[in-house]
Parts: sequence; structure tokens; C-alpha cells
Amino acid sequence: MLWQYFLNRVKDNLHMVLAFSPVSVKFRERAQKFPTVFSGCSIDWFLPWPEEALISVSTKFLSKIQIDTPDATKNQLTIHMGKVHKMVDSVCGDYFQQMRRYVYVTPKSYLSFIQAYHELYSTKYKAIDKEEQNINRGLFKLAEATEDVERMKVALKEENAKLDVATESTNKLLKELDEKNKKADIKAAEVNAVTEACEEQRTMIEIERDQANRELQAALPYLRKAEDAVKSIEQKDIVEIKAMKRPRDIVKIIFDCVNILFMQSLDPIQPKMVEVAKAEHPFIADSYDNHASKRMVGPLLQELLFFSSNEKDLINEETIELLEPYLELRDVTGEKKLFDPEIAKQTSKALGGLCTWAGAMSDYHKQSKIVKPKLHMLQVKTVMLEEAQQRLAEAKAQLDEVNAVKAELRARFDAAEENKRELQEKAAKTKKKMDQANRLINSLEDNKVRWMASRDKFQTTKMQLVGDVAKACAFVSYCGPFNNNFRQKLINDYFGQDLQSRGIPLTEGLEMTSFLVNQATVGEWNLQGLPSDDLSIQNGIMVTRSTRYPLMIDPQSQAVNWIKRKEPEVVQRDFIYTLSNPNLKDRLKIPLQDGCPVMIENIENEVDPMLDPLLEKQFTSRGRQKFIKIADTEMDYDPNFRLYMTSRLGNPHFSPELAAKTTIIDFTVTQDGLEQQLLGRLISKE
Amino acid sequence: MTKDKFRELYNFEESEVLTQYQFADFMEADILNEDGELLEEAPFLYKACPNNEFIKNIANEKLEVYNEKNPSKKMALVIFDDALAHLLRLTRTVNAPAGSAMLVGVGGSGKTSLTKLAASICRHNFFQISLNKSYNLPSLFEDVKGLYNLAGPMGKSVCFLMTDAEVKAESFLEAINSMLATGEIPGLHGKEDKDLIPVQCKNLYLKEVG
Repeated sequence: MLWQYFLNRVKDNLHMVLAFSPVSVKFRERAQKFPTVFSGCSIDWFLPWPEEALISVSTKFLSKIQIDTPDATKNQLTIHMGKVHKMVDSVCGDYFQQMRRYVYVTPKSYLSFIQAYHELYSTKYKAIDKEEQNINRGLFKLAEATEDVERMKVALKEENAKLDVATESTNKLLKELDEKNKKADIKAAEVNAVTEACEEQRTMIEIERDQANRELQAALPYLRKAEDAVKSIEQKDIVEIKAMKRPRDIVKIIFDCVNILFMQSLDPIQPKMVEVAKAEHPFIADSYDNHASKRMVGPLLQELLFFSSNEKDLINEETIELLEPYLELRDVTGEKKLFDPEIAKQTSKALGGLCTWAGAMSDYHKQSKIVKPKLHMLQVKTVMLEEAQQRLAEAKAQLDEVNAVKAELRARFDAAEENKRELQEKAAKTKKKMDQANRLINSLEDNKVRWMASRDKFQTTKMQLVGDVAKACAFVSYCGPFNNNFRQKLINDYFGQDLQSRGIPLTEGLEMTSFLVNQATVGEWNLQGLPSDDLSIQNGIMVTRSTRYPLMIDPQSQAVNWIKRKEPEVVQRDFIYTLSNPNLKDRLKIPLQDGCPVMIENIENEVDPMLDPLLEKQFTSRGRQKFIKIADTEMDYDPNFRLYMTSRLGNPHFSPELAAKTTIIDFTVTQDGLEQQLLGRLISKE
Repeated sequence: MTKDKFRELYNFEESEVLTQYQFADFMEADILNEDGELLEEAPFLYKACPNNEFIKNIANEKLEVYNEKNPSKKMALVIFDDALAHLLRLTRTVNAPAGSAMLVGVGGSGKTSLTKLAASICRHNFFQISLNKSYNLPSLFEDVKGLYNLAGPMGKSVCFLMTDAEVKAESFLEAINSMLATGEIPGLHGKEDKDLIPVQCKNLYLKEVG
């Protein structure tokens, strides 16, 4: 009773959902074997997705993607995607009819198709965009450079004009300067001449002055002598003379001389005999009594000194003439001078002094007579010299003035010259820059043409990318299981035509291989042992491009050989397994962790469901690390992990589920392929 | 076709024929308090949807809820009309007592995903066996026993999904067969269990039956 209650509760609460595929034979068998399974469940048939479903799915996914195309085209694209799926679906039937090979397409393939479209489109678009940007930048720079050159040309012209003006002005200045220079030079020459003259004059004068001075010096001893003589006279001697009642003739004579020197009046000249040195000499009558005696009265000594120091130069020729007879008074023989201090001394000490003084005065005069005019001349000359020097100074001032003007002019000239030089430099710089720019432009001219062409092309390329990528992705996602003929048919007759009829832009006659991989990669693959025929290369693309892990139909082991050389780690680390390996799960752990390639060989129609999470890429991520749960064991997953599955069966019948989870690629060698392969070998041998 | 029959046989007006509408039982929203905490779960009221878009939006919301709850296994489902119809059928079936469903379709058409979503919508405990090499009938029995425990004494609704791949042996289906037929699987419960389980259910039974 309670047990029944329990069972009822269980029945009520435990809802069974069975998800079966109608494809396998088992489905029918099961229906017969287990009627309750079928009768006890509400059966819901999941029919192939209708086109509307396909379109809405593609619409949903594509709406997230930026596609550089009008909305109408995008809409057409979504429809096209749905159409592609449908078309492949129908081709599957044909394929079975013709080739007896089972191929299934499932919505999974469709999703993978859309995802592939997304990825490929964005990479391609970015690549083109980048290239376009680069080229546009290049073109822009070129245009800029051309513009710059134009601008520089104008600038250069301006600068040259400026330079011309500057040159002219400097030239003018230079001319002016030259003139001024010449003027200054003349002036300088003048001044120099004057200076020279002055100098000459001065030296001459100096020489004369020296001479005069020397001569004057020669006169000086006489003066000193006179002074000494005066000094030697003492007052008492004069008094003594004064006291003489009858002075001797010599006294009279000497006093006459003194009188003459003082330019006092004398008696008219009368011949008279005078007694000197105890001898009689015919001489002039003295005037002592009448004039000289008066001399005695004054302070004779002071007068004498005053005269010798101050009035000595007043002595003139007349005086000397008058004095001459006295001084030349000689004895009878005419040999001995009578006017001699020694003789005079004999009479009186003072008289000797006076005698000496008078003689000295006379000598002095005689001497100074020569000097005096000279001194006078000298004075005149000195004045002249001064005048000359003044003139010279004037001339020099003028010269300075001229020089100042010249200097100013020079400064101006220098400034102008500097300005000119600067302008010249600037112009040269501009010219250099322009030359460089020109060189650049010229060297890039070829590129420019090419760039221009490709720039125009970019827009169309971008537009066509929408269709191209659709075609390529449809190819990668769907064409794997088909042989070469069907692939071509699908690509060209189905996909291409549908794209065209929908007005989706695409490149005419797009080469799948060159669109999806570059030549270098293909070459590398060939070196790694991938046959060089179209089919094999297409297969290579699908193996590397597909979003799902590849499952290769490979009866001739071509794929295996290629993969083994392409992924040497597979062989080196022995990551080649079969499904029958009892430890497959554990063996997968290390390659999953390290991101190594793994190859599972000899798959026969079915794949262990244990691998489903891996095939469906059911990763969980915690932080950066990704994990995958395989048969209750969580394993680290490295995104570099790659899985290759191969089957040796010629015509395997993979279930639609498997077709959904993997990309089935037919590596079976066809006749065409074989021919191409042989041709390739032949060519490489030659 | 149904529509035509209704019109012909019962002379229904066009407006009275409701087949153009979808019916669903998960349109009520959960009652939340101010803090957004769940006060009362939404009741399942089976009624017609105002229009397709409306139910589609709700389904998408439910999908988001599912994805939030299972961030590591996000499903990027596109619920187009066809899928929506499947989803509604599935919830309708699974939410009914003793309702079981069999989904037939090629792989990759979204059977599993829709089932998961439906289970989430109906607040069922979703279960799927995790396959490995050594999984066999006893393992299945082990799992099923756990489910029985959940469904029986604990009274939880359980949704048990089994796909083609998981049917490792025909014996699996045999078990399912008998489970669906009688609720009992031969050999699942030993003698001890048969003694123990009624005791566990006694209180429940008394409460319910009185």
C-alpha cells in the first residue's frame, strides 16, 4: 500500500525526457522492443529547423556583429545563411543518391557557420581596415607633402625676393661704406701728413731748443762769473774806492764800463792818456768824475746783482760797442789785456770784482746775443707747433668723426649682411626641405598610384567582404564531407548564385584557398606532406580553420601523415590514441593541460560519448583557468589543445550527432586529386 | 486542422477558435518583497498568451535566469517560433504529473538545451547521467535510486534527461520502459529498501490521505 503510494509519487514527480535521434536503426528497433517508452511519453518531433528558424537565429547572432554593409544587405545575408543551410541539406540527399555516402547537416553546423562568419569577418575586416588606414595615411602624408612643397615654393619665392632686397640694400650700404672709407682714408692721409709735419716740426724745434738751451747754458757761466764777481765785492771795498780822493785811471775805466752797462750817460769821448799798470795808454777820457762817482752813492752791490739777474738781457749792441774799447784795452805791445781783474785787484778788491763782472756781462751778452734770437725763434716755433698740434687735433677729430661715421656705417652694413645671411640660410633650408619632400614624393610616386588604386578598391573589397566571407565560411563549415565535385558545385552553383541573386556583394570567382590562407602556409603544408591538389589544400584549410575539431575520413592515410609532420609533438610525446584505449580519459589529461595536439585514430562510425563535452567544447572557466569535465573528472584546459580524429573507413556512416560535433572532412583521394598530386610530384622532381 | 474541425463541427466563430494562441503555464511572475527576496514562487497557471512576442520575451527572461544560475554553462539559445512551440510543449508535458516526453530529432537541434531550460522553468531538479567508460546498468540503478528518493519521500520534481548517447545498452531502455509502465524497475530496490521506503513515506501518506 505504502509502496504503491511511493511509486505513484515517484511516477508523478519523476519526469523522463528522452532525446532520441530518428536516424539510427536503433530507433525503430527500440520502438518495437519497448512500447511503453514510446507510449508513455508525449512524443515531440524536432523537425529540421525551418528556414524561418535558421534566419531568426542568424539574425540574432549577426545583430551582435558589426558588419559594414547596408541593413538591407545584412538582412539578405541572414536569409542567405539560412538558405545555405537548407541548400546543403538538400545536397546531402543528392550526395547520397549519387555517391551513397551519408552526410548530415545539423543546426550545430549552422551555428558553427555563423560563428565562423563572425570570426573571419572581423579578422578580415580588421586586416583590410588596417591596410586601408595605412594606405590612407600614406596618401594623406603624400598629399600633405605635396601641399607643403607648394607652400614651400611660395615661401621660397618670398624669401628670395626678400633676399634680393636685402642684397641690394647691403650693396648700397657697401658702396656708401666704400665711399666713406675712401673719404676717411683721405682724411686719415691728411691727418697723417699733418701729424708727420707736426712731428717733424716738433723734433726740429726740439733740436733747436736743445741747441739754444745748450748755448744758453754756455752763456750761463758768464752770468755766474758776473754774479760771483759781484758777490766778491764787499761794501767796504766800494767805500774804499769811494774814499779815494784821486782814483786811479783803472778805477775810472771800470766804473765807466759799469756805467755803460747800466746805460748811464758818459762824457763825450775824448782821447786821453790813461795810466794802467804803471804805463800810459792812449784811451778815451773817462767820465768818472762827472758820472761814475755818482754810482758810488747808491747801493751799488744791490744794483749790480739786480742787473745781472734781471736786466742782463737788456744789454744791447750799442752798449757792447761802447764797452768794446774798454775791454780791448791792451798794453803797448798789444799783447796783454789791460782790462784785467788781476790788474784791477791791485788797485782795489772791489775793482777786480767789478772788472770781472763787467767782462762777464759783456761775455754773457755776446753769448746770449747768439742764443737770444734762437730762443725767440724757438718761442715762435713752439707757438707754431702748438698751432700745428691744434690743427692736428682738429684733423684728428675730423678723422675720428669720419671714422665714427664709417664705423656706424660698417655696423649697419654688418647688420644688413647678417640679415642677408640669415635670409640666405633660411632660403637654403627651405630649399633643402623642399628637395627632400620632392624626393620623397617622387620616390613614392609609384606607390601612390598603386595606393590610389587600392584605396579605390578597398571600398569594394570591404563591400565584397560580406559575401566573400559568407562564401568562405559556408565552405569551411559545410563542405568537408563532400568530394571535390560537390564542393565546387556547392560553392559556385549554390552559395555563389544565391549570394548574387540576393545582391550581396562578393568578389567574382573568389579563390577559396587564397582567400583563407596565404601561399606561404600552403607551401609549408605541402612540405609537411599535404598533397598539393586543390582538395587536399581545401581540407587543410578546413582542418585548421574549423571551429569544431576535425574528423577526417582518411582511407589513404594522407591526413595522418600530414598531421604527424605538422604536429610533431603528437609523435614525439606519443599522443596518438585509439578509442579502444581503456585509459583514454587519463591519457587526455596531460595534453589538455599542456595544450598539446592529440590524434585519435581509427574512429569507426561512432565516437565514445565520453568525449562529447570535449567535442562540444563545454568549458567552464574559473578566473583565467579553463576547465573541462570529462566523465566526471575535471581537467585543466589549455586553449592551445588540438584534437584530430581520423577514420580509415572509406565510407563511414557518421551519425548526425557526430556530424554536429565535429567537422567531417573527406580526405579520400579522387582521380582528379591523384592526377594533381602526381603532377605536383613531377614538377617538384623536375 | 484542429481549427477547421472546431469550426466545422461546432460552428465556432473565428474569434472563438483560440488555436492561434500559445498556451503556457509560466507567465506569472515570482512575488518578490521589497528587497528582491523571493516570497512566493509564481504559481503555474496554464493560460493563453496574449501574443507570441509576449511569451517569447518571457521565455528569453527565463533563459537569462538560467544562464545566471549556471554561469559556467551558458546557453546561447535563440528562441524562434519553432523552438518556442517546442519549449511550450515540453513545459506542458513535464509540468503535468507523471508527464514524460520523448523528443525525436537529429542531433544539434537543441533538444538537450530546451529540456534544460524547461526544467529550469518548471523548477525541476534536472538530472542527466554523466557518462564514462565504466558506466553500466548498476550505475544507472544507483542514479535512478537517488532520483526515486528525491521524487518519492522528498517530494521534489525531477526531470531526468536521457539522450541517445547515454543509452549504452538496451537494458537501460528496458529499465526506463518498466519505470514508465509501472513505476517500478525490477531489481532496483532490494528487500531492505522495500521495507525502509514505506516507513519513510508513512507520515507523508498520513498527512495526505488523512
